[in-house]
Amino acid sequence: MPETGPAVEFEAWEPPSWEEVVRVHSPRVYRLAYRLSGNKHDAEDLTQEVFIRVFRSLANYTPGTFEGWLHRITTNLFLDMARRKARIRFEGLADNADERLEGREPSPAQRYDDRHFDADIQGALDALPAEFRAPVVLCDIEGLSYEEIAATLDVKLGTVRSRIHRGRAQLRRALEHRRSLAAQANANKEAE
Amino acid sequence: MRRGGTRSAISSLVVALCVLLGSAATHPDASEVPAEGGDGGMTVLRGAAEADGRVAYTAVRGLRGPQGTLAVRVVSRPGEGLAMAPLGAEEQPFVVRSSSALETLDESLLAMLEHTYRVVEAEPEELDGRSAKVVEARRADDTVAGRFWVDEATDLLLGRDVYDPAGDPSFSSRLTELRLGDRGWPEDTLGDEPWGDALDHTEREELRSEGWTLPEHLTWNLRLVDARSTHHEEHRVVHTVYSDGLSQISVFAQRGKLGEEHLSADQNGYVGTGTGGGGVTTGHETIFGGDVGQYQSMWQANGFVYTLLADAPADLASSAVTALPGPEGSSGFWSRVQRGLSRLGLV
Amino acid sequence: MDHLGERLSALIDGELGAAEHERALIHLAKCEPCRFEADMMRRLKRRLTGLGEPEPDLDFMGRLMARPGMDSPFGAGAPLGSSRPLGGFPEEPTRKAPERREPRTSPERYVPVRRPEDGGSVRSPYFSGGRYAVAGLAVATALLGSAFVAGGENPDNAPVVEPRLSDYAVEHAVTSRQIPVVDPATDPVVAWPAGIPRTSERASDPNETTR
Repeated sequence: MPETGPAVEFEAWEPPSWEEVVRVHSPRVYRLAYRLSGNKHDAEDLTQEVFIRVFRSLANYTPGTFEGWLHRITTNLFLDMARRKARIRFEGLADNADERLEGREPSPAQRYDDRHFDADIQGALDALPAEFRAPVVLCDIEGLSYEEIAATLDVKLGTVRSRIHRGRAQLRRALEHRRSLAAQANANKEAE
Repeated sequence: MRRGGTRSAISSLVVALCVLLGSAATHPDASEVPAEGGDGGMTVLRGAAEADGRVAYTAVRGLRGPQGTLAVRVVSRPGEGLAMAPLGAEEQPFVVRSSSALETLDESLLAMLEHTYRVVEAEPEELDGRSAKVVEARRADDTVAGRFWVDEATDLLLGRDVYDPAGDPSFSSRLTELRLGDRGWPEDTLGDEPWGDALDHTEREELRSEGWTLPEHLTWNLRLVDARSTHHEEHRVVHTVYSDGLSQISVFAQRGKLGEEHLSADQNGYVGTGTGGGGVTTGHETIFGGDVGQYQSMWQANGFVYTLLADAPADLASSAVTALPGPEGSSGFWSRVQRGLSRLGLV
Repeated sequence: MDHLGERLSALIDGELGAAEHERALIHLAKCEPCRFEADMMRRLKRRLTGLGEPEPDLDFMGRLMARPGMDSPFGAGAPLGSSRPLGGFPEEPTRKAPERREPRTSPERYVPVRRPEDGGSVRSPYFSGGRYAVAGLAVATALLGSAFVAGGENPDNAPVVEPRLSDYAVEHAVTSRQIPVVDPATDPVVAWPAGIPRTSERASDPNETTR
């Protein structure tokens, strides 16, 4: 552990130590990073980068919105990362797919869905383009309001709403797809 | 919702007042800033910028420069972004996502145009069968540096030209086959937007005090309009944009040095560096210049590596290069700059 | 009758204004498909909300506490903090290279280590072919000293860097918004659109222009 030397005096506000910040905030940052990136390695990279950023700009930071700030840094770093990665093409998502209404009754499979594993939904999340994934994660996992999400992502409120909606629509399709694959695999097994 | 595009052949173009030239002045008077006189044309251009953020459209953008022409399909969906793909390559659109960063940049570009030139409204003209308001950006000696055509009906920017000091167009952009609506929008394409870490005045000052060279202006007609940074492998890279309001020049700076090998300057228009900056290669981080052409240059000076990218006239780009720190101990650098340009007959 | 569309999401998120909320509920009351959608949407939201909370590894926490990455970003010259104090962190960032974690198996890394042999693996998304083109038109293709080395300045201190031209090209294209960056595999048709005269009223080839 590096020692935390004597703090330089700041008139208004004295930034907390690295250790303090990491201890208090890393679980939250890590969770967000994990849900956004979908895997441990990227989540660790992101988390680390977030704290490096935080410390680079801590001297400029005005107290009051620390968590919002962390959200913003984490999300933007993630988007930075994502948009430089391979383009994710969502197969077959037609223009108005999100508005198409499919099915009428929750099927037994859909009910079963609700009890299914994290892995399944994380898999579906991973398949979601980053620009849709981020608002959905911020809304449903982090519990931010649309307004907060708009500020975090630096987009308009209407864009947040539309991305969340389209993101969820895609998630559902992805989950259905995964489910039908699983069902098929089971059927094959039974046929053997 | 937003799609329901009517079929009217309305032209338009993006706000981007960027890529046009702003030839360096040969005429001493031409470089006086600000060019005296009213800027009555700004209202029209601001109207065009506003329309661009409001009107969804699909069109083909024709671009013409000294080396040739290019047709790009563009789809603009306000609030989402601008998708571009060269004709014949529609399956790979390049999407620029809307962001407040770009809105701010557009405002800076307009302000820069107003600052650098006298912006006047000229007689209306017909362009591609549409009546258009015409706006001219004039240098202090009253020569025309740039001309804009703004659609009477929709306020969208239909075209623009940038002229060199001799009055010849060095860059043209036109919208054709314009339709309202964004039916062709690539729904699932991941877009790009500028690096998220905008550097305000204070942050730039801090970087300067840490040894970074980030000039607020490079030449009389090239001022800083935007600065942002990102990190590559935890190393900061700063992207500064310089403009006269017509053309944009990007300068990327990062700490470090290039690899040990000396690179040859001229590879028939291809440019790029190999690993460690060693050797011009075609397969590694290479930008193909050749038939597509973008002015680019990379060098190191004082512990920093600079990379300059510009869709700008060579003389403007070279004046930018010249204004940045030059490599020490590389006396051939400036002569190479000059030589490269003289081949084009521009210097 | 229009279905609720994206208002459904806003509804279950409690993000509709009072009047719109009211209208949405009225619609729901008489629209079975939308009720179904709302139900499915709520289930999905519940599942997302109920996702477990991944915990960072202790191992990782240890590395993080040790302030990784506060090392190399600043090469020669001015380390972070040399010009302004970092309150509470007066010590200089250490300069030695961090222990890198074990090599990744994934080809695309967030903080990639570039190696010559994997030149194509970490670039920007658009260039699957391992290289890319700036689809554009040459305003000037004059290539001025692409990259070369200057002598005489503490070469030992400055890290050797390889500027990521592809990222820069994307960033430039994003801010200039004129010329898309594309995969060179898709050969763009270079053509002036029909209906536009190729020569403008003042046409002349700037290549031939001299002062």
